[in-house]
Amino acid sequence: MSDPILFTRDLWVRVHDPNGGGSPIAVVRGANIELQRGATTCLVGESGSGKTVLMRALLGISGARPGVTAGTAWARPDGSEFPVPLVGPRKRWRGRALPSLRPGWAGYVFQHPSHSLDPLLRVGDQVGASVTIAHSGLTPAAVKRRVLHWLETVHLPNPEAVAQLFPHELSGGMAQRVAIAIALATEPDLLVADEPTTGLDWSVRRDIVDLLGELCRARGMSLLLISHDFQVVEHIADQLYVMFRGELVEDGPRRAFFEPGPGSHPYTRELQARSRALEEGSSPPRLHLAEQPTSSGAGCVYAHRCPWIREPSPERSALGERCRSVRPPDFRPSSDHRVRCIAVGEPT
Amino acid sequence: MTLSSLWTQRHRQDQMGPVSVFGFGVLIGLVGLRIAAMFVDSSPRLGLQDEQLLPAMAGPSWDHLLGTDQLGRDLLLRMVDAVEAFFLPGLFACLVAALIAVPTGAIAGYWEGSKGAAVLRGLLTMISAWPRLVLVVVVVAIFTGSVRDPAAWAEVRLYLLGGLVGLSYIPQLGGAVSERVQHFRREQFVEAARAHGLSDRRILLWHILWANCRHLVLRHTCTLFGAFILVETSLSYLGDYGVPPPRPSWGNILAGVRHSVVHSRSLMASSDSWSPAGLWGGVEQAIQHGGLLGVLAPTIAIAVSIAGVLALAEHYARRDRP
Amino acid sequence: MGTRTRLVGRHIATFGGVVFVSSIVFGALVWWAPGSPQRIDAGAQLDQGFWGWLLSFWLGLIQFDLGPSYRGIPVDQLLVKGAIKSLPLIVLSMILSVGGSLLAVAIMGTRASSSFPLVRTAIHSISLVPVFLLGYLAVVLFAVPPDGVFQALAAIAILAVGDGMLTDIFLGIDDEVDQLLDRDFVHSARLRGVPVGPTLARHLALPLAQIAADKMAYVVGGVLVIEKVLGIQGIGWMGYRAATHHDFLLLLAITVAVTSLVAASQLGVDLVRLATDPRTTPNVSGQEVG
Repeated sequence: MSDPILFTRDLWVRVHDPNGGGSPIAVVRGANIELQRGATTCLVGESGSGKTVLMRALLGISGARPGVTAGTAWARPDGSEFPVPLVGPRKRWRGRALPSLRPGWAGYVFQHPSHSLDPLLRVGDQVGASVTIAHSGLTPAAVKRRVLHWLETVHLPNPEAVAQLFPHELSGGMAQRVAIAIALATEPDLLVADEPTTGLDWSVRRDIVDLLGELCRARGMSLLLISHDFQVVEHIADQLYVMFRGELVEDGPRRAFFEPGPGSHPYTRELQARSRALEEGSSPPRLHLAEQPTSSGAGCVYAHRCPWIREPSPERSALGERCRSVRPPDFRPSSDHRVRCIAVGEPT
Repeated sequence: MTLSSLWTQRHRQDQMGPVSVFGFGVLIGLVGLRIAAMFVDSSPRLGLQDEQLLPAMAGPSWDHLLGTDQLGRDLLLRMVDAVEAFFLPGLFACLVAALIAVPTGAIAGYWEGSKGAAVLRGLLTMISAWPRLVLVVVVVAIFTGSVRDPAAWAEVRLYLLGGLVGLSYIPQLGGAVSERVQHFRREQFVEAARAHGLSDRRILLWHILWANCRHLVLRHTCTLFGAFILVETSLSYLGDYGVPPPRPSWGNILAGVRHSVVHSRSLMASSDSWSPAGLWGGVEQAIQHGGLLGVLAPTIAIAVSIAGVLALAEHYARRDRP
Repeated sequence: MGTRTRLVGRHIATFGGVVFVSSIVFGALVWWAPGSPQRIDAGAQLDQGFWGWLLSFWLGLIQFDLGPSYRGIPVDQLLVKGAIKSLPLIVLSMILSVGGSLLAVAIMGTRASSSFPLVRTAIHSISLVPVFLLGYLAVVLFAVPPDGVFQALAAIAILAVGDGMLTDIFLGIDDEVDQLLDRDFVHSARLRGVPVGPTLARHLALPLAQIAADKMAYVVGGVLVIEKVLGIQGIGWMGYRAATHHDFLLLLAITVAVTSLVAASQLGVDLVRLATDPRTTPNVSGQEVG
């Protein structure tokens, strides 16, 4: 039943002060995540919640700052398990990411297409480099044929001309399609798309997400989509994880989030209300950013913003103190749905 | 992606680290020495007047903590007195650079694309092609041709040196300011400020230059001050264009000691120049001659002052994160 | 193609303008400085004003015949003689400094400036020592011979390190490598298993050239000092002597030569950038797809 292609157990990512000194800050705390084979998993949360850091650390492509990690991660490319080496203090010449797996096993579509393309190389050459990873020993003509095939696959008009362009000559939507083509050309088992629509025009956002979903279904590829917007993920997600301040506060299958049922985390509700408001064009609920989280780290990570604590209904009036001091346990409304919230776990 | 926790981390860096402490320590030391130098007069002390004749190149003693130089003058007094040679002229260099480069850079950056900005940029490009030392030597040499009063000229020459070093730094400072101004010119808040009816002058002076370029300018002036120490001591060491010999400079103290040290060294090492014995012989000779302190004191003083000033520059560079 | 030619032309024009205006500025200084012997010399031909004199200087520069210097030796001969000694010093010290820094950065493997405070401090403190002091120590302590290969090697090493040269280049390269390795397309290449080496080489070449070109003016200043200290009879030594002897024609020629050298290194970087970086010229072929 459960056939994860990549999973983690209690994964921590800590970030070093860029100038050295000071103790590292935990930006991902004890994440348990499972990406099912051939399914679309979505990781949702606001900016700064640690979604990108988590996935980048997992794939070994974190930037300068993420340093110490702890916990375990396993990849199962074909039934057998491989440990994923976690990034220690940053080495500069690290060579290939995920060295124990075949090259190009995972693909990554970055947030800004303009940053993820090499500005000095023609589009065709960049896709070609990926092609030669998947199939070594091809003739130049064969490589070119495959390059054009991949550019067509991502619905780029006039692939021959696009292959001759440099990245700075592409529009945002085209560049993101090229980035997807580059990631696909290694024929990965897992594709991670990190807010692939953020830098783009409203009109092309939907296209890109639909394209990703369609490609993954057609190729039986697993997809992990990172987003801050429930509307974006709604029609392609099979499994969802909600992240807040480095913690996965809720996860479950699609129906747990988009069908009425037993309780969901107040943060999930906030995000959903926000996306709905954006779509309807009304103003989203006010964000109480002035409130600072408790420094001790005890209690619920969301306590400082939780509306149930801020404006408690009579039956929940006693919760506030406990939420701030006790770490909430995981509550399971159903076997595959998990919520980390005291209030959801103790319906009154 | 922004990590709110990283922000707090970043603010903590703004506090004084060891680098800042070192920089400010050296700055305070230099100011103290400069004040002390006003009460010290080391140049006429040739040991021939009412004082007893001091031996030349003597080692350290309680009366003369650093010993004496090749003419029997107290080395410590000369070291202190030498701060005069670069302190005010160095500040003058900073003043010249800042007064010319900040407006030039600001104009070239704010009214980017206009004819005037292009001309200013061309000027900056041209000055940046003049090697600093070559410029200083050429100009000072040309003006030395007509000297009538050498004593007055010596003082003027130091400020001319300061002015020239300041001038040669203009492209660097001007370029940095114009880049920064350009960066902010494209930002939304400038458009917003204009829409609110703020004048260009007020936006440029207050919101861009004062609020966002202050630390940048301070950083570059500190680097420039270090560059001036370098130029002044280099030229004083070489002899013709720096501080003229009766007046002390860390550079010419070194040069003065050099003659006796090199002399003994060359007698000693004429046969085996590159053997370990010859190498050690040089050190031994230097110690015996009492010249070692004469070499070490200015060397350390120069290195520490430049390091301190550059540490100060680093301090401002850390504060200057747009 | 048209835009590219125009940009090349603009860079060359900038170079020419810098040299031209610099020669006017220095020429005017030589001519109008109080007590300038140049004007007195030229007074022999009274019809020749400043511009006439400068014109004859430019003509001489083009024809490579600048006339005799102070001691009667032709200026152009002196210039060539000095350049033969100085240019290798400049070029080799630059190569040594850039190559050494690159090697150090490659060996250290992590961000050197933050992970190795000791290395950083060491490089800073050696590099802070002025060129004249390093030269002085070389003469006094290490008894560098007054001529020959050892002297040249010592001069190259000193130039590569002193006056903050090594610090600036090393930290510049360290910074550049660090930023480059954190770019998304490098991460992308590492994840896909595409070799990173060629990407790094492609993206580092220009910044390295830029860093070296920016330091050119400083190296020229350093050459002047080290040649004077060690007694190498190159351009710097000659310039210094010309200045003390008021041999202003030679001085002007050297100044113009040195300025052109610095401007030319900048021109070289600009041209290489035009040739290798597609972002510098808009490509017309993009429009047919859009």
